[in-house]
Amino acid sequence: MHGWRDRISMDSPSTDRRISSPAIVGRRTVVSGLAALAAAGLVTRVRAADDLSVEMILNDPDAPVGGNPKGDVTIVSFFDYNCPFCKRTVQPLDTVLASDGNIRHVYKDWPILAPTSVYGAKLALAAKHQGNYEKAYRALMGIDGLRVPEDRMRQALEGAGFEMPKLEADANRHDAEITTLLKRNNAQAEGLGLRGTPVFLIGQFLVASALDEAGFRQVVKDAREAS
Amino acid sequence: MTMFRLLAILFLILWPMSVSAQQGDLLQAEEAFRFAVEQGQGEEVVLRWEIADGYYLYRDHIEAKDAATSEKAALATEPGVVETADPNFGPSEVYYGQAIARLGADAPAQVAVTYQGCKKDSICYPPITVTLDTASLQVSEAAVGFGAMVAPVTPTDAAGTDGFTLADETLNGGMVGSLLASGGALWVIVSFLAFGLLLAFTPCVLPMYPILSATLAREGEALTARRGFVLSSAYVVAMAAAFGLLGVVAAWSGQNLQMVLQSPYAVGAVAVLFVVLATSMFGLFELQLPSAWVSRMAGVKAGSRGSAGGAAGMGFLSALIVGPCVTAPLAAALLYIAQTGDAWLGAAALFALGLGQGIPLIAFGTMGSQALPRAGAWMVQVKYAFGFVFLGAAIWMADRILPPPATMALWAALLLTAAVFIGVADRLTPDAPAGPRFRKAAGLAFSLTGVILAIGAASGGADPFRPLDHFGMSGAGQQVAAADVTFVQARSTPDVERALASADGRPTLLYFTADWCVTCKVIDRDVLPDPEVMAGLDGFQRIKVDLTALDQSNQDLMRDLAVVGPPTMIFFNRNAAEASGTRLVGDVTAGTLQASIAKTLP
Repeated sequence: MHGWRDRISMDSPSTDRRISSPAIVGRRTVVSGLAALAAAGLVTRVRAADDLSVEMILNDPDAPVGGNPKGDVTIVSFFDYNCPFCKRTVQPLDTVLASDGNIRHVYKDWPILAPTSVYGAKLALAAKHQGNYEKAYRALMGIDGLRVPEDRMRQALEGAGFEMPKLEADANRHDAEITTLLKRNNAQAEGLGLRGTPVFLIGQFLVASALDEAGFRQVVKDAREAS
Repeated sequence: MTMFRLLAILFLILWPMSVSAQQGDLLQAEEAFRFAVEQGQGEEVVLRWEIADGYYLYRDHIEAKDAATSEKAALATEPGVVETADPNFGPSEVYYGQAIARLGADAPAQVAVTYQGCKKDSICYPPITVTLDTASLQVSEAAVGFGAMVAPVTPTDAAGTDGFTLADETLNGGMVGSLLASGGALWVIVSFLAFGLLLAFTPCVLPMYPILSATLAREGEALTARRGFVLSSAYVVAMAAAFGLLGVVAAWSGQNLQMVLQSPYAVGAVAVLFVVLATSMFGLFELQLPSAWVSRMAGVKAGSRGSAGGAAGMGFLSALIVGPCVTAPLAAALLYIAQTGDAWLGAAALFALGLGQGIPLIAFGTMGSQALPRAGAWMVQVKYAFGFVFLGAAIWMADRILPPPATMALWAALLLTAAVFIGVADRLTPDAPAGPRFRKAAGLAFSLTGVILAIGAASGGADPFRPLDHFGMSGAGQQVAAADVTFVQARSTPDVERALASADGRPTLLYFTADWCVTCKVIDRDVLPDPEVMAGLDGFQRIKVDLTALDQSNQDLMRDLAVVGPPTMIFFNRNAAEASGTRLVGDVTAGTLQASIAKTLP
């Protein structure tokens, strides 16, 4: 099975024909045994469905959305502000989003690499409350390095025009919500079995790789064809 | 919709498979970086990682700590490859294939080793920590992550104690934060206005009615409904402004101004002010004080411009000193300010709260002014009556700083004087009509009460409502067995931590109170003696914190527990954790208390 959510191929496995790039997930190999798995797993999974549902992964009302919110393909990105490969994908993804114009981008802050990642994620999500999430995201992603200290994050945000006392106050005020969202993102990532950042869910494909521009275009094209 | 749900369930089933299939080419972190320990030369311990093809470890991210103390342990690493292929990395030193690090002979017994790496051009893994025993070379299971998703951006002081944990909502901006999230600043303000209205008839606000009436009565014959509206509005707006000021001061100094103002000096000064105002009602000024000073201070002349200002001043004082009431919305607003530093929204909310509390006062002042007689001999009587109201208010204030028998003696004197004014000593002629006879009877009742109070005071009684209680006569017929709910005292954070540590598996109730706290008196008199409440509190360790005298240690305790003022009740379960939704601030009833007890018990 190739898709992170494969709704068609279950009854029509013969339509499996996409995926070319090695960066992209391999094909589905197991179809049999689904029923047994379903019976065993149904009860527990459904209980967690609130947070772990496809709906919440794609349309979590608290998760920031970029690109074209009405786009026909959704890219969900799981990322961390201390993740070099994530940073490398920002520019190519932006280019693809801008030139394609019909892709919806859902941001999943998943701070797992270092404690300052949590700090950055909370400030970025506080910026969402000021209507400026993407500006904060770009500022934080624009910092080089693997363990970005908190004061460099502050400098970058100030450089982007944020007033730090206000941003920190907003982060504090909304701490409960923000923490809940981060925990939900984490639960979704773990539910998907993700092992690190970055990971992109593009249409039904799951890509754990630092895609370049061509890579994004390819998977988006595949996703459109598959849908 | 059903179709959609069906699909959703289907996806959930498919995920793990899709992912495992996808991540077949992506190793688990433990497989990508296989960790092993071996004995090196001498006492040296060698840490070795076998790194899968295409993966690498960061040299800088290999760290060793004493597992017991978290102090860094010396770890020798070898130079790695400098990875410069990507501008986003910055220059970083990494290991491909294999990494080796050495712990020296002085390494602690248990060492926590953390390492972190990536798959090239793919993903980076969260840090992995293993704990190894340097003697036996046993290695624990790997722990992934750094486990710190919850720390707030700027750690607030309120959360920083080890002896107990507070409920999440206490630490998260609470009610104001959630109102703000659901409807913005305007919604916060509208809600606080409504909260104020709900609080308008609680014991906090009730003393303001006689004080406002007395303030209005000083107008004498000039009082009209319109004038009453102007004056009571001035009173209420000033009261609301005082609430707003509380917010600004809290942001500036971190303190609840109401509590700071409960000093004997401020309370004494207000009591004296009430006495002066009372004497003006009795028309006694010329005996005592230079008239210029008096008229400036009290605005005696009816209808003078100063009286709106006087009413406003009275409103201001009422909110700050006379009725220092800590209510749930007030506490929420002050905590919100303390946690976010956003003084303006907090102060605006408090202003709205004060206005809400005052709206019935304005209605009362306007309609009451219309109802009061305008002229004639009655007016003198009305002024006398309110003279007594001011004197009563003065004694009620002085109660906070005087010993109880002294207060009772003052009440006795007040009642006896009132009895004389009513006419207890006036001779009734045999042909007197019913009116004067009823007055005489009322005067006798006042005198009798006054005498009983005087006896109580002279014999050391303390409770004006039960002045002879200490003679042990009450309830003789029915043998009330119930002893009072008893509390032990605590005055600092260490006190409370010790108490919680030695609670012996009992839950704990922490009750913040103060002599000047009007609501606390109601709780002590009506709520705690409730038989069901007493039964519920039986299994609790009960601790009282008296905030009558503020000092550094009880202020620190208030800060640590995010308490704004009395009355506040905090419920800790047997693990010294505050149960969610149990904290009671302000008005406490037997019902709310029992609900909190039930939530705290397992």
